[in-house]
Amino acid sequence: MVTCRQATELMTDEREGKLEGARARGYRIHMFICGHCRAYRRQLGVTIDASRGVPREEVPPAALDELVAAFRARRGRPGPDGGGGGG
Amino acid sequence: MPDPSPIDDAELVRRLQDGDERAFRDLVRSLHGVLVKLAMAFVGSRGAAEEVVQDTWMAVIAGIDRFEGRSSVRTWIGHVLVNRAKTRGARERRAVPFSSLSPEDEGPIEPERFSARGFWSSPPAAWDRAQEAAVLQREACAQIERELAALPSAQATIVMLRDVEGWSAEEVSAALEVTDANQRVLLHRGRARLRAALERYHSGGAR
Repeated sequence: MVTCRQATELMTDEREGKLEGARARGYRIHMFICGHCRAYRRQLGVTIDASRGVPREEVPPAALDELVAAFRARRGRPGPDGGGGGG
Repeated sequence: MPDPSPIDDAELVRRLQDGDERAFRDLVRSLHGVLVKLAMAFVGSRGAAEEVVQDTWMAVIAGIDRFEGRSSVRTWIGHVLVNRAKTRGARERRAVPFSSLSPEDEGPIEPERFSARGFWSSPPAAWDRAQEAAVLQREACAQIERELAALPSAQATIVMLRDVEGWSAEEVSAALEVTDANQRVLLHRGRARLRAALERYHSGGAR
């Protein structure tokens, strides 16, 4: 018998397609009968969706310019609009 | 946020080899933040991480002709970074964070929420539609961001790559040289802690 505690530990394996055999069967039966674990699984899904909204850290402009300058020095030619803007 | 690199890898590599500054600039913009965080999992300070990232970009600029397309571009760059960060971390005598996982580590849910027999004694309260929608708003994102910063670095790195940046399991395994099983454990623990942060957020009176 899969417990709630065990079921919560298997939810990422399930999502990753790595839950097979007897473990998968026990898990599925548990999820069928346990509303709490279904709520937990749904909340994990909502959490994953929400993580997508975490803003990306921007590269500081000075560091970016420095890297682009290094790229230019090494690779030669500016791109179609790589020379624009200046600064 | 829409995918910032709509061109495919082969085209990207061609442009980089061709010296296309716009392509390089976009690549740096899309990866810089994630590389800094990745490096911080291995080295002791933000400054050291930024140096590792800088070195990595220099290696990418010098090595783009040798890129063979056996992995995605970001996996390749991630792997270059991880090698450098590991070397730097070893110099600082820091443990490699992804190999130090012990299976008896406590699970991500507080043990007191389960009975001795392993069933919920304090089950999660279901989130209603309004609560689920609220999770996608800015305030809840900030909550996730704060919790992400507080996670153990290996968990934070995996969750960031997979769920924030959308890397595949294969890309993460290749870049970090972490086993699939370890990756799943770390991902699961990290996600569970972020969920718990949102649960606290909801019970704190937000609607």
